[in-house]
Amino acid sequence: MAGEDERREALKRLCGFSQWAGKPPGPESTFTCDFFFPAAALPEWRVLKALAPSAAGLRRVRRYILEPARAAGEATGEATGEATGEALDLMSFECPSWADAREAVIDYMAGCATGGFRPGADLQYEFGEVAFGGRTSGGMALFVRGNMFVVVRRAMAQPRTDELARRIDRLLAARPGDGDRGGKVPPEVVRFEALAPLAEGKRVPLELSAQDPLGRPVWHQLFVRGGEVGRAEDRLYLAPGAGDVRVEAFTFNENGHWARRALTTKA
Amino acid sequence: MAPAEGGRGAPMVITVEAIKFNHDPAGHTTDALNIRRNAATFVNVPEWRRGVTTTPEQSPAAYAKRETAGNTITIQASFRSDEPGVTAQIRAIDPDKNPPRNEGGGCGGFIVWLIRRFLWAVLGNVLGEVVEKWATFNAAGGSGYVTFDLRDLRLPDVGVGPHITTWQWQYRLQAGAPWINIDVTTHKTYVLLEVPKSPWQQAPYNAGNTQLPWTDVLDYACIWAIGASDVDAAAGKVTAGVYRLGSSLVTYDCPGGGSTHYTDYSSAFYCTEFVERLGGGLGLGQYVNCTDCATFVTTFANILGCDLSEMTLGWMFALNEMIAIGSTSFSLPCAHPPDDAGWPSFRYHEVGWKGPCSNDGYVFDGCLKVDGDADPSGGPPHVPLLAVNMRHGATGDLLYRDRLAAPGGRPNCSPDCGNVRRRTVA
Repeated sequence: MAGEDERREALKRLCGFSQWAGKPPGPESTFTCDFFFPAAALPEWRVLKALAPSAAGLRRVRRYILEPARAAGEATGEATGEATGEALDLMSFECPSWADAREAVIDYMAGCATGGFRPGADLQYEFGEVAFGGRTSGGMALFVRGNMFVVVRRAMAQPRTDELARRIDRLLAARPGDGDRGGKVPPEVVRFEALAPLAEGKRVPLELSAQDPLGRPVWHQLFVRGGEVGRAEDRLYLAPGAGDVRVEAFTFNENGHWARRALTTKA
Repeated sequence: MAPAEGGRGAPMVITVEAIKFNHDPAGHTTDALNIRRNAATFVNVPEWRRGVTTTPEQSPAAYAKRETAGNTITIQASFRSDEPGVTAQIRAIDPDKNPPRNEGGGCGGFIVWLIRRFLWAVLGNVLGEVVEKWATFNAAGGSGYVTFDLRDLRLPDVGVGPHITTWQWQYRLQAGAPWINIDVTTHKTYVLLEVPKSPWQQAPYNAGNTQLPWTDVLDYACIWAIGASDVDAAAGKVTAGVYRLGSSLVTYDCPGGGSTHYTDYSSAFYCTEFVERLGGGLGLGQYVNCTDCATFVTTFANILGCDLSEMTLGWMFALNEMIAIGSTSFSLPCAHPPDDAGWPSFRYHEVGWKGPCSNDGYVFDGCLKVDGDADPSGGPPHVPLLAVNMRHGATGDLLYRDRLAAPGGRPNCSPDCGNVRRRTVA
């Protein structure tokens, strides 16, 4: 019988893994920390359930059951996704590195009994650095953006999954618009700096601390040029490449209001 | 010893204050098992408390038939008297045991009587009666906890099931005097075959241990397996109960490629969410895969005393036609004729499993029905067969392996001994 490694390798060949393994394409990539469902930024979705954060190895897992806000509005009493027949299951895997997020795709696929994933391009999925769907368009969607591996599945028979996937990917991939910044009580980046002199290819600890004045949770989105950001032993690190390094950090609170701090240096 | 007479002229009042079924958390041979309601709520002892407990469900107790067999079951109860210092003989009888036969008279009355007898036999008291015992009330009117033997138990005679015990408590102040009715208490009693097996635990016994058996799970497992008197029958009934959910509550995860929705892929079973789904709520939705079904079967069977594990079969094997959970006819999984013939193979399959990790293990598969005819790889007509205590077998044995996997896939459809587990409940 095939061992675990053998199975993963077989799956990788099946999925053309070598074509999308490793680092994200392009000069700038994202790294996400402490992610939670940004409800304020996606008002068309309502969180029915938020499972307790968990971990799969070094991957931080968040899981939500969501329904279209439209359906929520139409529901009566306490009826939710069950009554409307519309609910999606969102899972996010916050991985310690870009490369690991791609490995997470294989791990996820290996856990599916029937499989049959189709490349996102075949389904006209326009999201993610890597994207796959299920047997039918809209039936399920998974994608990678930076260190985030995101799966959107159906919890009930409807609705389509790709629209939510597209919206989340856009949120992870793009800098926030200025219009979102002006909250009455935005979060604050307290400290953002490399804790040692940078040297090409060498990991140095990266300190990013932020707070919300009202104590609300915050999550961070980093845009990285000229190096790689990752997480090891629960700390961020920066491994600069040759030349200029620029890391721009955005910290969001649950209302979608944000603060920004940039780090520009040279290895 | 002669009991004191009530000395006030007015009738003396004795009340039942509390009843403990699980009065010895370290043991389960003469008392009830350690249980909790669900992940969030512990079952406090005493299970029945005056002024607090109003329904049988609020006073639950579970007993293991095998471990209690031949032993005298005991409970503990405390009482209060408005006349301190008295001594009273106290007992409880079952008022439903022999209902009056001529209620309403005529044929209708007889039918009502028959129905009551039937319900009592199936779902009624299995704990028998509380044997009388003298209790002495202290200066404050309290008796402290008194240990009582139970008699005329039906525990050895019934199978798995939920039962309602009703006790009419009585006292008298002198031996031979007429009994005086006091309180009526009701309790929900779960009859299990054996002490629940892993992932369920009996220790440590504290509110933080979420692996103590849940009454929320027993409520379903005991109904699915009602009447089962051995572990194989119970596991089989649970397997059928899980598969039947496909007619209304769950269906195979075709849109998602057969992914698990009720486990975290490794060690945890989102049992709270599944119970919510069983109750008609959303849970984590309607989709399940074989991992989910194997976990449902194993967890719900093992709480009754069965000893199943979740076993992975595979990797990558071609399939015979089947009726996957939520489907109504034979096809390859997720087929939508005429455009989609369905999946020709499983990457893996997961089942409830008993016995060794070899061809001699036995399968309990709540996820699909295989073809039970002489040629499971042949065309219709097929014979739907739920694999219940079916030996996995080697290729050519016409057992589970041959019925699930197409001839070309059978060599790969083997138990993966590195993937045997029992997921913890969460």
